[in-house]
Amino acid sequence: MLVRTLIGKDLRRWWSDRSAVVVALVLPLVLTGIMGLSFGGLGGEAGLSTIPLAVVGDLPSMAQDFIDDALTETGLFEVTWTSREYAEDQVRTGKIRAALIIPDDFAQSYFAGEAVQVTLWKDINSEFKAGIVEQILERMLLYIRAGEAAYIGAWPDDWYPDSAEESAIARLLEGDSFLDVYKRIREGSTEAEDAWTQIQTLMDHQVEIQDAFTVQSVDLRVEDRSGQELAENEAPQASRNIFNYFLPGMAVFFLMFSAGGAGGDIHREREEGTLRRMLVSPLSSRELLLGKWVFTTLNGLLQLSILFAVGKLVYGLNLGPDPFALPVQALVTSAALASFFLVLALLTRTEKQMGQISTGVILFMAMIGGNFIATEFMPDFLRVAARFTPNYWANDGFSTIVSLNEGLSAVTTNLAVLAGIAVAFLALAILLLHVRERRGDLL
Amino acid sequence: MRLNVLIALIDVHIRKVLADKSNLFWLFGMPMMFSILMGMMFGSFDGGSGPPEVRVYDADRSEASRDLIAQLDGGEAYAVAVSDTVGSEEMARTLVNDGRRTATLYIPAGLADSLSIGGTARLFFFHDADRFSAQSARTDMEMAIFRLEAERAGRRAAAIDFDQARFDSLWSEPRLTLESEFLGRREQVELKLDKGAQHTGPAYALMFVMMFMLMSVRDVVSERRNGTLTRLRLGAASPGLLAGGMLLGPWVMGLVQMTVLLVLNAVVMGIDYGDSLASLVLLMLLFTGVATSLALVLATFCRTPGQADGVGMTASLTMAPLGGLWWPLEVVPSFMQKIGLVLPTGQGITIFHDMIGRGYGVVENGANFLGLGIWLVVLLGIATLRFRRLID
Repeated sequence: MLVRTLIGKDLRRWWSDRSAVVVALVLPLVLTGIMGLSFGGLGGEAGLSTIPLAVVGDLPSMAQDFIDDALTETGLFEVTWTSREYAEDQVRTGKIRAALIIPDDFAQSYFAGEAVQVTLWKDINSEFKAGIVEQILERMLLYIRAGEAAYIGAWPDDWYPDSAEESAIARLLEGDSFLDVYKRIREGSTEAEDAWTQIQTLMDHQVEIQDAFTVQSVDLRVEDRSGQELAENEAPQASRNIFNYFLPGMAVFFLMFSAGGAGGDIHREREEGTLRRMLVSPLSSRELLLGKWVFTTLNGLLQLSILFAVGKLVYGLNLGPDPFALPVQALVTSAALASFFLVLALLTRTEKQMGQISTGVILFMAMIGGNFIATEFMPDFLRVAARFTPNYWANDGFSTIVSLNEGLSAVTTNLAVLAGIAVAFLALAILLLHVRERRGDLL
Repeated sequence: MRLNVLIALIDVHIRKVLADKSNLFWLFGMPMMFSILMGMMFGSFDGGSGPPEVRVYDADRSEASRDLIAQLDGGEAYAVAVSDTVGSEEMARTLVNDGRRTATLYIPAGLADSLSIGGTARLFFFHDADRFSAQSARTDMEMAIFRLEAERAGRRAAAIDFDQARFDSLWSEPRLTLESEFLGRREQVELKLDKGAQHTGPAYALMFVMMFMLMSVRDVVSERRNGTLTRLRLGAASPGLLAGGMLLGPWVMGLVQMTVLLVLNAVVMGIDYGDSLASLVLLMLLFTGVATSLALVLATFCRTPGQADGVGMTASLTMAPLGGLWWPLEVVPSFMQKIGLVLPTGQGITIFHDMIGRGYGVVENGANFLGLGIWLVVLLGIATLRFRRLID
């Protein structure tokens, strides 16, 4: 009865502190909102918008149109043909992320069978977007290279015309429009006819190669970890709710602050003399500690419940397929963190020391335990280190339920580890309490 | 006399901060830990272990399957391990789903037979799409299949014999190539922002300077509540002088903190801040000034130390990601970039990026310096007015 009263008192006091409520509830929701907006959530503009790309090259207008169409069709580029000097200035000052420089003799060299190099200038401060431009251009060139390699493998002798034929074809194709070419063919000179025959052969072979490419030899089935099956070259669907990734991490991060603050209460009550007064009552110190642990656990459960409920309403958070999975995961997480921070509180001497050390521990654990960046992106040794933090198991469990839409059976390991932490650290806290009582430095 | 009071106030603040040894950890230890660990995560340092493994189950065991596997060249991104067992589609899927492998490839029996009769063979590739190594492996796998498809297409189209040598030669040494280069400061010494620490080092220096200032808002509120400021006022210090002391003390401390952090970043992670010392000094002065003024403004609005903690933490933890201190602004949508560039955090990190990458000086960084200057003037004005009104 007395313990229940203590728990009720602690809960009322905690939730009447507006600044604690802001840190525990408002801040995680705000940060989740910022992260979601930054990476394309709330149905807003996706993280990647059209990338301005300058193209430099003195090409016939037909070739320019062809390149323009090919780049624009990807839907990723906003293409502007410009001068070399202007493109260089724009890339150097970061006004555009990349510029494609096509040599002036590109067409002549390419159709003469010579090696041709195009250059991509990238903004030095744009590792991400300029990198995307490079990848896409490499992929586009790959299609050209593949077609050429297949063609030459099939008809090794007819790809590069000799110099006389080349000049005949070049003369036939002079000018900027198909009408000019058509007129020359209609005029009917022998040279034009030969060139036209040659072009027809080349075009027939091109068609044959294109037809040959339509037959698929290998069907690559790509499946990601969520079980989503993707066609070759297809990216995972963007329709997945990005807040499912961010909110659990933020919720656990701020739950650690609450648990740390609740643990620090022991020092505040000791410094204000409340602890001494409570120990005069029939309550034993162990019961006081258990009361604090139950309060921290219930408080954490309440905090997580509100965060997930508001997350569902505001961000459309997925609460998983199993109605028990999220509550059980939240309860065990709260219990584990309550035990962990009680031990930390009993290892420190003052409220200020507890506040500073617990904040340092929280930031460090959040960093390596996957609250800021998924552990998958970390070096191996950090991934191993992460497994020694309680928040790693909490984050992983919540992600499994919320992001991967799994049930209770998928998080049994997480629950077992967190329950183990809760029991082991609570036992350690009781032990530390007795040691401090014996030393007489608890009061 | 008045100058002596001001110096005394600054001196007291610095002594008070340094007297608490745990503050040293928050001033220098924690920011460096963040910079180094986040730098690792963004790819600055080698974690010391090998690349993630892509497991291949080859049930076909033919020359065709071996050729395909040989084209998976992970380099530093991943390592290929061909299993001794033939495995199964389910085994390959489970390894990835359990997080034990970044990606797996299952080649069922019959690949070579299918290719020889012109049929379509099916391969299974499982991957953790959130991992770079998995995406690299997927790209390489698609490339290998693309090569195979090109070769098969050439063979199908060939009227007589397919010239494998010409095909191989053109595939490995294509005529049409793309050469890419970064334009910026000293391209030859690779100072582009591809090293994670070149972002995380300055970003966390800015974040922790601001955070330390904003978390010390509670001290000002406590001093106001316990009457220290009133006693100082009675000790003949004018409100303006007191406001100056409350501003300059943390400002000097912030400058010391930022200087030490930037030097440590340069020494530990080899960060080069550009060619303009004037830009660096101006940035430090303006940013620490803005953070100090903001802290004092917030202190004048908070009534209790607890409230100050909440407000300080909320302000620092929202301004940091919005301004691009947690991730570069270029990865966020344009409207978020615009918000970020209005904030002092966004202006500060952009100046750093432009100093490091482009070699910009004061003039070229003018717009962002002006932004920081406006913040400083506005916040200083509000802080002074509010503070004077509060203690007068």
